[in-house]
Amino acid sequence: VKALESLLVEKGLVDRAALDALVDAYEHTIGPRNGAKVVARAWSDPAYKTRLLADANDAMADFGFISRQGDRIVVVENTAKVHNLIVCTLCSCYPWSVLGLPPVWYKSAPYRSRAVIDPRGVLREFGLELADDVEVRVWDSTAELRYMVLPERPAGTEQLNEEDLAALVTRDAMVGVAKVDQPQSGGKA
Amino acid sequence: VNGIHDMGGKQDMGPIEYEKNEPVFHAPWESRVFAMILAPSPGAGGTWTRSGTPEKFCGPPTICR
Repeated sequence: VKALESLLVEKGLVDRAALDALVDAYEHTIGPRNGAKVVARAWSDPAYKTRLLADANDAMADFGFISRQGDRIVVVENTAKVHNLIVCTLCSCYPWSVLGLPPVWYKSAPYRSRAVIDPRGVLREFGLELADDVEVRVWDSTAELRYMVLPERPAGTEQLNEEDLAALVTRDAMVGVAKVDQPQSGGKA
Repeated sequence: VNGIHDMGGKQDMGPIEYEKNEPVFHAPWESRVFAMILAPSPGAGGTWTRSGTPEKFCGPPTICR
């Protein structure tokens, strides 16, 4: 890898500082905390939520979260009766600008193969048991069209401001393999 | 699409392995390769520069990742 990098730099094909900046951005700036801010605003501001569900790219641009490759992002809303789950059965398409790079399990064969034929079983594996009367919708992503889940706002959070709400929102909840826990009840990052 | 990449509906792939607190990159080389793929300089047909932002980079939109 070092030899390859040296060669690319030598030939002027990449700028080493640009590589450093990219790695830093994806390790520290571009990640699920971005998506959490979007979710928290949607929970706090009904007008923003309407915009987000109608045109996610436009609403996310308020935060400067702009999709790098010009793909369209669609936000799907979880309710008491509908649970959404996102997957990319073909590879690993994922809304980078708001969730960062996908975790290994999202890219793995077990998740991609089973999310579409046994979503309830997959959710159970993540520790999420849904009632029979909850409809499960699975969204298969592509390079041009990617999804993010707007999780349900947990009870007992009426007094929280946007920042505190955002702190509750996890990556897994925005993929749809978890719900957002009530404050102080713990949960997976 | 019906090919090796199309995992949808295939069976017997085993349990999902969930890593708690998973790092963005598992080893330094992963981050370097990732950046090299993403960051061709303007001379190589890309637009990413040191002063640029990730949003300014325009990669081929048809690559699925």
